[in-house]
Formats: sequence, structure tokens, C-alpha cells
Amino acid sequence: MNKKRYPMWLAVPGLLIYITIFVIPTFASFYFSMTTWNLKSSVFTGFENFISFFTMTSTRSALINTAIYATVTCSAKVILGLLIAQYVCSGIRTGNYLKIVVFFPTLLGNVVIGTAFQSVLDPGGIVNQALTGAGLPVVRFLTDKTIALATCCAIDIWKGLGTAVIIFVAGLSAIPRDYYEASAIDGATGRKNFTRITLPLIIPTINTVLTLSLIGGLRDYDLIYTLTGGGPGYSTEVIGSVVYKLFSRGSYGLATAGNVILFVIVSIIVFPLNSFVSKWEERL
Amino acid sequence: MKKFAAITLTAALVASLAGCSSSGTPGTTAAEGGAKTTEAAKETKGNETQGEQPSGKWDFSGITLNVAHSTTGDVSDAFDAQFAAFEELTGAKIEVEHLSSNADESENTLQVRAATGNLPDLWQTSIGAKLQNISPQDNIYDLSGQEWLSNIVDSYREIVTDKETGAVYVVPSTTSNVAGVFYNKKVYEDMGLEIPETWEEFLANCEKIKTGSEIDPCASPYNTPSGVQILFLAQYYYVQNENPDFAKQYTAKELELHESEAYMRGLTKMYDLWEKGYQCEDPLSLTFEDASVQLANGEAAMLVCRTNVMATVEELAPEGIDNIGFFPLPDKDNKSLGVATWMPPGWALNKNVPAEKEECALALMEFLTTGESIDAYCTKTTPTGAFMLNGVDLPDNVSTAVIEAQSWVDKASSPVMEYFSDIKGSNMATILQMVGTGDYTPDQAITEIEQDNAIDAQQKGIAGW
Repeated sequence: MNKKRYPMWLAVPGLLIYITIFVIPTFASFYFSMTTWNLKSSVFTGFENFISFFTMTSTRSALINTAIYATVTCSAKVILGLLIAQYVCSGIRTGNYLKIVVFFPTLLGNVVIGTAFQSVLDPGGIVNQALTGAGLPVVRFLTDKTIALATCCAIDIWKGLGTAVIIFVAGLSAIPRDYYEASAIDGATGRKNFTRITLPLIIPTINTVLTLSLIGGLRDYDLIYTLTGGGPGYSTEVIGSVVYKLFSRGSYGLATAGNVILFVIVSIIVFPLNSFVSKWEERL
Repeated sequence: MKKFAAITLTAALVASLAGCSSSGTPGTTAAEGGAKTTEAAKETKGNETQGEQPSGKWDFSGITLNVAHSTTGDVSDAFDAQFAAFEELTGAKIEVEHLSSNADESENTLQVRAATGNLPDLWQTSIGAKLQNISPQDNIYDLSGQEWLSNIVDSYREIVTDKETGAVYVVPSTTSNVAGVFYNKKVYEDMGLEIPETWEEFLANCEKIKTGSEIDPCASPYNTPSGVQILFLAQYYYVQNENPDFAKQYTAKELELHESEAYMRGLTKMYDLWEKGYQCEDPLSLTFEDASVQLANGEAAMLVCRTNVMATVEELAPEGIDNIGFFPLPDKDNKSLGVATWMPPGWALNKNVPAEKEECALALMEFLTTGESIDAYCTKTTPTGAFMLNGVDLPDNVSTAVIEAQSWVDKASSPVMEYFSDIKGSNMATILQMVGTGDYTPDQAITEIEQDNAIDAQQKGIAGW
């Protein structure tokens, strides 16, 4: 087995593709984030773009909103996802049907969901018709700045829950039945089973869902953008939508800087979180 | 068997890749498209020989032109009618590509395609200061010297001509837009209101409507970025009236926005409407379409918008067309009344158009400036402004509001600021939304507009910023 099975040059095509479509653009974006750039020529300006980006009023709201949005959607997906998966796997007869129902919103595109909910939640839309029919006041879900972000979070949870449930279901069914049988003999009940067997064994899955939905939440913008356009005011502006608006105004350098900042934020949060959860797993 | 499948798949993949890369170059598509259409073209040519009188010189069968535009609705149909007329006349084929109807987005798409050498043969472009974004000297065919340029009215030709080189870049694609107040005549009659000539009178009218009826005095469709900006942008007539060099001096950073009283009044007007409660309950949910219908039905008394609203009314509430009248956005005194205008976007021709298509593309540009093509245009939609072409009259069925608005263009008008200065921050619409819903006072708003614009100017590398 000392002899290598494949010569090194077999890696060349893959490496080339990887370098051209990943490595070069990444480093190019680091460079362009420090320039003013009109796609043809660029002028190096050092860290000015980063300073401009953080002095914009929209960015300050965007940073806070992104943090809230990512935390809320991600924790809801983990907690609700795990609970639903547990319920679906508990041997009830409608389990498979429920899996499909929960997963269904994932099949729809973000823009489709955004546009659909925009009309459903409109002051004259069916939700408000139902509310007024029940004698309740009209709720301006998307145009009241105190609740617009919460509405976006709720829709994103509805949409992303399916993926979380499916991953959890896979994780749960991978736990050998033997443990539960053994614990049943020892007289353990549902809650003990959950905290002592299920939870420790499902932590790698929790880690996956947590990481995926956190990254998703930090980068998300298309759903929010189609729902509210970042408004009213800056109340649902997230980093993604700020970057998008800058790109479409032709401020390519500044927009790239925004993307680099987003990249750094995602890395700073996700990698430590990942290793923290792994350590937690070891302790249990 | 597996091996065979793998080889076939690889071959297919390679072939499709090759297809992808070549479809980018206009030359190949032309050849392909040409081959496909020869038969159809021959047919048209056959029954054309006797019919074509003004343009017998044109025979372009086998040539396909790619045209991209960002217009939707009736006007898009009108373009199709124009292209169909051209196809019939010349045997050429025109393939239309629809870009995003969001101006910023489609502009961005074109810029990216310009940078990567993928522009279509003809495309619709914003004009004025924005035209610079696509580096016209590198990307747009210089039309100067074409004898048919005299078809275009001087005021339009002026803003699409490079002052230094004399190059002319575009021909008008649609009609001009005039901004002002559109009002429901019936409501005005019923309530015994006079047409206001100052902002105070305007507010007084609103107050009477508010207290005397259930009608919303002023529909404010702040649901979209464009709807929320019209009133503010239309104020530019008064800004340039106060200082004719405003845009130029601002671009050169010789003045600050908050120093101009007229500029500030634009924000104050929006704030007034909110503060005094003259809008509907939730302006942020009100779409432009809904507002147009409300105006036509008399559910709202007034709407500050552009003449293109009449196309929307024609489509959605045609019975209300004659109820609608027009007056200029009032300002501080009745002597200086005037309107702001939007020049029609234009058709630009790719500078690097393949040689075999050049003649055909130029012929299409010429055709688009003729009465013949305007006739085709008017079969699909009623124009809501001037075509900016010489010798083209508006058809008889144009609404009275549009005629009234057009009469102000000759009396007192100015194109809006974007034709003179491209500085505009990415948050303008959001800031105006916040003024129009009371989150910002005009003073807070102007500080933020200035900061936002400064970042935009720096990003564009404008000298002095």
C-alpha cells in the first residue's frame, strides 16, 4: 500500500475548477472591497469602503436586524424542529403524512413565498379579512415597523422548519432501538429517555441544523426583500439587502466590502459555535 | 454499458458547454436565428414587394437583431407592434429580451453585460446623467451624421449628445412623462373647490375634503420605491427655478442640499401630507395601481404622479378617464408654477454590432423615429406624453389630463434632477418613505440624504467628494 493508487495529476482538473471558481473570486473580492470599482477600472482606497459601510444609517439597523433575525429563526428551527421530529417519529400513524406537510414549504422558492405572503398579509388580504370577521382590528403585518421583522422571522421559520425536521428525523432514526429497550427495563420514562438518550445522541444533528440555519439566517435577504423591501424605514433591513441595494446602485466596491464583512461575521460566529457544540457533545 | 453511458454524457456535457460559450457572442446567434427564419422571411418578402413604399431600400431577410428592454404592460406590447411592423417591412427578425422592470436592476444588468462584452444589439437605456454609467463612448454606436436624426426634437437630442465629441447616442423609445397633481374633477365640483395655485391653497383644499367627506384627500402610493419619490423629484422644477445651476453646482460639491429652500420644501410637502393626515391610513400598503383606481373612482381626490398614470387608468378603470384633470404641483407663490418632466428612455445601438447586422440595426433605429412606427405603437396603447419626434402628432384619443399636462411643458418645465446629476444614494426611497410616514422630519431626512449621497458620489469617483 506504499505505492499511491492514483497519480497526483489526476487532481489537477478538480483543483483547476476549484481555483477558478472559488479561490480566485474570493481573493479578488477581498481586493475589490478595498477599491471604488465600476467593473472596468478600480481605484485602490484602502479601508475607506469599510468605514463608509459602517457609517451608513441603514447598516447599523441592518447589523442589529440580521443578528435578531438569525438568532430567532435559527433557535426556533432547532427547538421546534426537534420537537416536531420527535413527535413525527413517535410511531403515530400520520407520521409520514406530517413529514410531507411540514416539508412542503421548503419546496417553494423564497421569492414565491415572499410574493404570496405579501398579498395574504395585506391589510385587505385574507388574514386580515379573517381578523376583522372575528371582530379583531386590522394588523399591518408588513408595514408596521414594530412587527414587520417578527412577521419575516415567522415566515422564514415556517419555510425552513421542514428541512430541520427532515434532518432531525434522520438523526433520530439513526439512534439504535436497543438503548430505549434497555432503559425501559430499567424503568426510565419518556422525559428521561429524551434527556439521557435522545439528546446526547442527537447533538451532532443539532450541530448540523444549528450551523446550517444560522448561516442561512445571517445571509438571508431574498425572502425579506420580496416581503418588505427592507422597510418600513430600516426596520427589516439586513446586511444582504443593504448589499443588494448598493450593487444595484452601481456601488460595486462598497457592496463587495459589505459582502466581505458578512463573510467575516459568518466565520466569526459559526466556527466557534461549531466547536462549542462539539465540546458539549464530548462532555455529555 | 456504463462506460458507454459515461462517454455519451461527457460528450453531451462538452457539447452543451460549447453551445453556452458561443451563444454569448451575437454573431453566432445571428447566424442560427437567420437560418431558422429564412423561410418565414422569404414568405414575407414575397407578398411585400408591392406594399413597401417609403423603405423599399430595406431588405434584411435572414438577419436577426437582439433587442432588450425593461418596459412592461401595454407599452411593451406597443414595442412588439413596432418590431412586428419592422419585420414585415424588411424581412429581418427581432428577438426581444425582457430585463427587470426595476430601473436600478436592469441598469445594473446592462452595466455588467457591457463590462463582459455581452450587450444585445439594441437596448433601452436611461438617458441624461445616467447614460454615463454604461460608458457610451465604448459601448454605444455614435449616430451623429445619420440624416434621419432630424426626426428627433432638439431638446431631446441635446441631452443624448456628448457635448465634447458631438456623438449622438440614443433615439427616444417611449413618451415623455410630466409630473404634477392629478385630481378627480367630480370631487372638486361636488365640494366646490378651486384649483390651488399655492401649497397653502392645496392644503386648504385637502382640509376641506378631509372634514367634508370620507374621501382621502391625497392618495400616496408609498408601496414602491418609484411611488414614494415622485412628489419629491417633481419639486425639482422649483429648485432649478431658484438656482438654474443647482445640479451642476451640487455635483461639483459647491453647495449643500439643505441650503436650498426649494429643495427642502419638497420634503416639507411630503411631511405636511402625513402630519395633517391627508393620506390614506396605510400609505405603505397602497400600490400605484390601487391609487390610480381610487383617483379614477373618486375614492381619493388627488394623486401626485406622472402622466403615465393615465395608461394605468385606461387599463384598470377606463370609465374614469374623463373624470381626471391635471394641475402643476403648487409651490410657494402662484407666479412661478411649473412642471417637472421625465424624458423618455431611449434605444441605444451596440457599438460593437457585427458588421453584417449594422445596416439592419441602423435601419431599425431610423424606423423607430418615423410616423409609421408610432402608428404601430399607438395601436396598442394611448400615449400619455410627447414622443419627442418631429412631425408626429398625438392621436385624438389622448386624455384631457395629458393634454393639460403637455400644455405646461411648453409654458414652464424642467427635466428632473437625474438628467443633470447622477448622485443619488441607495437609500433615497427609504428615507422618503420615512418622511412620508412621519418617522423623519425634513431636517433629519436631509442630513441622511446628504450622507447617503456623499457615499454614492465617492463610489462613483466624482471629483471633489
